[in-house]
Amino acid sequence: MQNKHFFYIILANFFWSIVPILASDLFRFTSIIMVAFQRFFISGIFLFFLALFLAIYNNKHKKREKIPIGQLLRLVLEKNEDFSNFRFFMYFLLLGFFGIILHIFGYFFALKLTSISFALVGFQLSIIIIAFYEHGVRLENLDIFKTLYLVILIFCVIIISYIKFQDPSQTYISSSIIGWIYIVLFAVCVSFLHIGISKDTYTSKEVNLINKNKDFKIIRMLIKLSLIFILGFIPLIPFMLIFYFFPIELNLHNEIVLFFSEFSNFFNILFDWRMVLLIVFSTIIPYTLMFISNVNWSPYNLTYSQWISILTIIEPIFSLILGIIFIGEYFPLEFLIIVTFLLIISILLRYAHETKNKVNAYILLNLRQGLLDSIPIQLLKLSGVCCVQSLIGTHDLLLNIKTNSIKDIYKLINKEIRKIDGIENLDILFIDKINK
Amino acid sequence: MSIKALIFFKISHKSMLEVLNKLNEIPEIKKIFSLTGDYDICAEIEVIKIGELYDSFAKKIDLIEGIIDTNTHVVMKEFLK
Repeated sequence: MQNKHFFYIILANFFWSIVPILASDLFRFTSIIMVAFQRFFISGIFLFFLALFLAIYNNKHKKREKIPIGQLLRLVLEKNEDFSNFRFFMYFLLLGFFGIILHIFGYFFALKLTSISFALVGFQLSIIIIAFYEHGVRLENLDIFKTLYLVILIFCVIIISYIKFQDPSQTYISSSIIGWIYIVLFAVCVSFLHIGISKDTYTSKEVNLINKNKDFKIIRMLIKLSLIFILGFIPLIPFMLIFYFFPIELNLHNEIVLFFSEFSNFFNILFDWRMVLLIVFSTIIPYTLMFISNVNWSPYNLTYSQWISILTIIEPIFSLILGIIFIGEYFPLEFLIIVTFLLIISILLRYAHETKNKVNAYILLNLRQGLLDSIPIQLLKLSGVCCVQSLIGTHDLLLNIKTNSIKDIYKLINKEIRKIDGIENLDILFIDKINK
Repeated sequence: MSIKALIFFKISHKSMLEVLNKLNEIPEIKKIFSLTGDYDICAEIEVIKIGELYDSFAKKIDLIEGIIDTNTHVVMKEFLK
């Protein structure tokens, strides 16, 4: 069954890889800002109403636990403990503006000013930034596999840059500096999105609800994503006004002028087949596929987020190949083979890194009488605890734990699990190998 | 609605691979983990009726040589996030 969810992740990455082709075509007659605005604002509204529809449908027609719509919407007013205690409203707004809007501006401007293959360098750069961030905050080790993985990505960046200098059309040379600035903006913002999006843990109430009705998780994800998409546009208004009245960067200024002038043409652009494909196939469907995989991911082998990290490189591979086939990008075949080969090797290295560094353990627990219902929810809130099973036998609970290092296991057990009042005995069994 | 149980095994010296192979052949056993600690193996078994759990035990698992001791826990509820 898990194969189906791998396939969903690969399919979602494939749908995202079509973005540069559709967007490049749209830029010929509309502004970058209009494309970004319609793609995310319309998708955001659609996903928001989809979440509401699913919640109402669940409450009226299904016999499962009711989903409290009011509580879901009030989430925006609550504090996010994982994100410096900012209210969720502000968290979504910052993630939406920096993680989505500026990231997409960086990506689209890089596409327009350079080329698809060169803009994709931003993906590799973002992976390198995230790796150094995770190493810096001691989330992950830079072992031999991860180091080799990063070296390969840097090597790919060098090859792609070299090829763009050889481009006979010389389009890259004329806009190299500003193109690079947008690529760096894209890489930094996408890194912010990846780091920021996971800084949101469920409350005890929510974990309880997920265990009564797992559809709650997908509805919450849809609400979160839709609000990120919609609220991200609020800071865009002052941002555009600044660049409109102070044309510091001419490309951006021209796009803003074009954006304001084409509002009368809003619906014609929205119903253009490329825009429809961009919204439906490259935004709504891939995100929904990812959420379905996340919700149904079995707590087995590697976690969902580990697989996302491994498979993320599929998107630039597909984009590069599709760009050459459909847009006729300049990229000599021998270099295409080398870059594709290196990127595939990088996927294998990332897999090796994730597999080597994961520490998988079972913990058998005995509890004080009367706590069998409340302690599993407290345990599930801890990072690293994937699954809790309530047992009949000599022990009361079995925890499945997955962390990136033995140090994390030590912290989790001694500083978090042992501190929970009501746990009387704890037996740790490390998993050596999964045999079936 | 299936019944899930976890069986923890203690294995005699030098019998690990044989026991793992034999357990792998039992279709009701869905997952097998080699462990370090008090137990050597954990197997997750899924059956439709409690009688099938007995059958799997009496007719398949109990016949495997090299198993010293087992400790079975029936899963009442699974909490996920």
